[in-house]
Amino acid sequence: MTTWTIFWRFGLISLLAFGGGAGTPLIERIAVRETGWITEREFGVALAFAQVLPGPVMSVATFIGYRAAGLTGALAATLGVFFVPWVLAAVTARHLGRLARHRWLSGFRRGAAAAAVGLLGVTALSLARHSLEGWAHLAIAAAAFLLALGTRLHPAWILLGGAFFGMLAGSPRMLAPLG
Amino acid sequence: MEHRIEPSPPSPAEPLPASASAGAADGGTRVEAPRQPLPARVLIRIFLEIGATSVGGLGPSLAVIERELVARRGVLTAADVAEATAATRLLPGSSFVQVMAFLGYRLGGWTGSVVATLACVLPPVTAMLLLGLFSDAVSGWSVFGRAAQGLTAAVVGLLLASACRFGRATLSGPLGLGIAIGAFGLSAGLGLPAAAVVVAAGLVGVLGLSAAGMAGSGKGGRS
Repeated sequence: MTTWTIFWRFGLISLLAFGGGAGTPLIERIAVRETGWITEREFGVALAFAQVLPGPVMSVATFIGYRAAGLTGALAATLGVFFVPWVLAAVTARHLGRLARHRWLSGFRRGAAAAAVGLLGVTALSLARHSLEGWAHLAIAAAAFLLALGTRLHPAWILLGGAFFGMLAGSPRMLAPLG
Repeated sequence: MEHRIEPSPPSPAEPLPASASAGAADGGTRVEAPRQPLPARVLIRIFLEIGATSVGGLGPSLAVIERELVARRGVLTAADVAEATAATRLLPGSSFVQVMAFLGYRLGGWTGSVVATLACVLPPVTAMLLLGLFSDAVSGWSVFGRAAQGLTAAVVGLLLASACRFGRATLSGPLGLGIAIGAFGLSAGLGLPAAAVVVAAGLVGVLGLSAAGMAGSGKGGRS
């Protein structure tokens, strides 16, 4: 595997990630499923940190690149995931009117954004298979879902709560297997 | 002598899409205000601050931009910020980076865009690199493993909530719902590459929009 592969894979991800959160399932599918650069567990932890830390969630690419190929991998992944959006935004700032009204871009965006909803579901399912080992973890996931959807609580607090209850749930009694 | 980044040359006023003109006082036509060159170190400091404080998406970073660049220094207008958020909404990739790159371009052309983008991604990228460096060292601790599992379980809940929110905002009509269900089936059931699924969905979106356009023009002709 070369750093070039990491660069173009993350470039492709950024080119196809239409809409907020759409990059997450693409990164999971490519970095975990298709290339095996990191494990599902590592992805889950990195994603949690990316949501707690400042800046874009796509910065998770730096972590994945580092785990895949060290510092050069981290650099390649970071450049790959941010280069295309930077170019597109700067070009848009220069030629705003024409690009914003492009009919095909609008149609493609609608279709890709709809696909991202389905792929988010696939990522959640995939993470759930690897992380929900007992009723306690299922309860954490359900509580996080309800809090995120029903309250204005910052995701960082939800994740901190998940980590805290995850530590408590480590006891064998709390980890009664599902089903 | 202090290095200054020159603002991008004013472009001719042009009409904006309705969403992009929100906040423009001139009824949807962009008028470039005269801009003063911003010292490079100030630009770097402001965008570093944005990158280091923007936990929770664009909201906090826009608050820093409005405080530092609109209210305090007057080098951007509120309409510039509204335009940046609206125009980059159509583009793929991180919207956080795109808004910063867009505003950086407005402040200093290509150089300003590069400086703003690099400065705002430096803090989060450094943090993720540190996580990569030290995660092996702490992953052996059982308490870390249990906390990580709890974190991942919470991420599952957050992802499902994101899918619900994102779905409510983007799935309008049976075509969008069909694409979402199809993408789920193709990826989860058949294991198709994610990129291929998104490209196929995008092309379906283009065809769907064209068909809707033809139907719309047909109706227009009859009425």
